[in-house]
Amino acid sequence: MKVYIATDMEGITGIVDRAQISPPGVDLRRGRNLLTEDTNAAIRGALAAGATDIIVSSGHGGNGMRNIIDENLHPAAWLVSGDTRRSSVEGMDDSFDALVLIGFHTRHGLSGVLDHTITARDIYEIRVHGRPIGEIGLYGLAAGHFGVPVVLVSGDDRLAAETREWFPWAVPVVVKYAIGRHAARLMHPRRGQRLIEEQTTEALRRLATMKPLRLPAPITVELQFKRTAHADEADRIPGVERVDDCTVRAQVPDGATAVSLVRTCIKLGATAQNDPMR
Amino acid sequence: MKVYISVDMEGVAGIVDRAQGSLPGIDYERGRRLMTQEAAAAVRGALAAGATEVWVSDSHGANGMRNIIAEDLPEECWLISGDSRPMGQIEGLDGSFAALALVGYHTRHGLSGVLDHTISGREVFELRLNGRPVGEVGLNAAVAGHLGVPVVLVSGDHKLAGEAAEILPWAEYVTVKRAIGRHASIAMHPTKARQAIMDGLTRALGRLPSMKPLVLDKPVTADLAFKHTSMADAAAGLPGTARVNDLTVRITAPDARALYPLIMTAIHLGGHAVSAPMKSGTLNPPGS
Repeated sequence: MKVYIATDMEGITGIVDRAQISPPGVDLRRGRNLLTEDTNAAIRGALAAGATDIIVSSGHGGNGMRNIIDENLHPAAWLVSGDTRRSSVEGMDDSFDALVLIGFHTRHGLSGVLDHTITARDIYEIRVHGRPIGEIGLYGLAAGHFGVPVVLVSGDDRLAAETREWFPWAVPVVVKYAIGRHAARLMHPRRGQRLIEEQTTEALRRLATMKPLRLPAPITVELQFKRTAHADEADRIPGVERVDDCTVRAQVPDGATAVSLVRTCIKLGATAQNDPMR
Repeated sequence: MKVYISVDMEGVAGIVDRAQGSLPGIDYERGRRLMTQEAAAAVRGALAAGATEVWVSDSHGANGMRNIIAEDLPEECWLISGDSRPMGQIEGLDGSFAALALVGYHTRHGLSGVLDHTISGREVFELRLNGRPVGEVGLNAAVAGHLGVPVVLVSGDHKLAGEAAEILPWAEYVTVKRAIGRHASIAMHPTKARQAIMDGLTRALGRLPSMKPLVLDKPVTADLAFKHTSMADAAAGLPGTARVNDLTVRITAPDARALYPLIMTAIHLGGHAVSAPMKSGTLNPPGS
């Protein structure tokens, strides 16, 4: 059994603020240790369920997607680290049996700890077939293209609701209860990690009931930016059209292409940040 | 038995200065560890008394209310961490809790003790509930009291002991240091302070029937005296407030629970007035 574990940081046990997940945050090192331990818990859980190959992706954007501490990671796993990647599920293909999402957060505008969609600075909302989607939905969609189901999602209680929206078959693991964007009631990290371990094993044992997320093709993808300048840049991509002052739209053949295009639009849109009036 | 432990920093044994309690203070990392260990001691004391659920609130304003090191607490507790909480130091407290413990607290502004202040050292000169000056201990006790939850333990310096005894005569008090001034004390060794807090909370919970919720006459009136008129000007923009005098706004609410977020919002608003052009040199450094 081959398992892909994609990680983010906002939904890791103990995390409530940017100062714990981005340089020069006073608690970044603590945050990275917590991330590494939540990830190890998922690896142990996967091994207990019979996983033979495990790929971990360090997916959090701060610090160049190099947040997992390699030398503290469980030796059974391979680690995808570093940035300029097309997605947090880089290397995903049809040889995998399951996708596990550790430490994720709600989409921008859905109140939860550190809610955002890919980049907090640029994106107001992303929609597929008119439906607002966050990172868990997007990465689930990319994996779904390869026939790989999302089996578990860890994060706060609000993310559990978003998980049920997209992956009703998956196991949501709640390690904190959001009080606002920068506060939460936290489960103790060691208890959170035990929960992740147990539930990963449980989810993989129920693999037969899990489904890949597939949407009717072509998929309509819309990106609504926070500022018009971002859309000015992104609408220069061939095949990308302007919908309104802040929004661009494209039609793509499948979920993996959708995620790749979203990344490209955001990267190009972000070049507008040098605008002197920003 | 559900127990809520709200932990501030100024009253922790070993703390006497802002440099230990706020970034970029040279001893902030030490300070937060001292705070975390007193929180952990209180959790152990609650568990020893038979608590089945324990919530710890990181109630110190520095570093975005993320001072306590989650992984250094006992596994059994929940930790409330992070800022912009509507109910601040007692976020999530409700009538399902049997007791509230206030660990590491400090005297109200103007009552000489280690790092005395009321909510925000920069803005607040005095807070009066129904005409009586209160600090953070009194305010939190009044909200908890409205919810039917008694304060069973307070820890801090010997001056806070007096402040607490006045309004919460039934509560257990743990003195971990003797204030010499606002920035000096003679303190118990941290290890002994933790033991005293742990034993104190176990003892307090053992005599829970003798504890009382602090109930104020309703409606409750808060008079909030600021340090500068500009702060009162800004706070008076909050609908429902009345101006009592140039420095003071009055907020009235049906009960203490409803009053609490209004007081916080008024102070928050007042804080925005500090960008006034004459501010430098006229303001005291923040006390928390």
